[in-house]
Amino acid sequence: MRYWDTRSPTPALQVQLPDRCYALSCTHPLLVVGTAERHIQVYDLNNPSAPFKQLQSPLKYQTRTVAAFPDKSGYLVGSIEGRVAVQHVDDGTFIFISVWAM
Amino acid sequence: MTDVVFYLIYTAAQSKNFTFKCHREQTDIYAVNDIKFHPTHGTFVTAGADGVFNFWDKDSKQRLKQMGKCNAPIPCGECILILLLWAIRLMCFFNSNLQGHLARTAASTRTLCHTTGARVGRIPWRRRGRITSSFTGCRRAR
Repeated sequence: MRYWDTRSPTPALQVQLPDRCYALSCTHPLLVVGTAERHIQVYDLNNPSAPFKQLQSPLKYQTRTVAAFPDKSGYLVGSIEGRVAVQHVDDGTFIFISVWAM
Repeated sequence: MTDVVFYLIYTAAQSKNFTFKCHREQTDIYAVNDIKFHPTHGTFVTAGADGVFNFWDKDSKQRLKQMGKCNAPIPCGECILILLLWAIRLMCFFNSNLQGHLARTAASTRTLCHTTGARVGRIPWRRRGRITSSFTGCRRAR
């Protein structure tokens, strides 16, 4: 996975994913990546170089799409088997909340 | 500009996590091709290979609205906030692998635009279970 700044011809950062990337969704600072072999990588974009969490998809079949919640508290996973999982990032630890102060 | 980031400690259990089935017809099971959140309401749309797209509210675990079946799989959709309405943009393409009568060429790719009312937003508790049709119009573009 590569992070880009459109003003630069080279990627700002490159991160190795565990497998082929199938789906990606972002609501800053939560980035969720669904890859082959049912891996789900959750990134905190305040620290984009290392995954915040590495999980297995709760669904039995291939990940087709992911969608991060607008409130950044979790994400949805859709599979090829007509099933959607609602997952929260906060298993008793943290959720992301960012405040932009001018 | 200062970027202030704080983490809120959250103690809720994982029991909030759940899965649900969708995009099925009897024994036929179709892929969930896309999920898009409504930009303000927190509800979301799933688009499936069966040509159906559904509106859901994850917090009340309800389906808000099931739309009529398109005659082709829906590979992707997008929510666009325009004034007080919102639009679902769907690109239906014809997949020759699906069924004989759906076999078409790639030139048959279409984009459908639906405008929706406010009824696909989160339901107030007092109105839950009484949601009916929410679409104010349907315009087919190309």
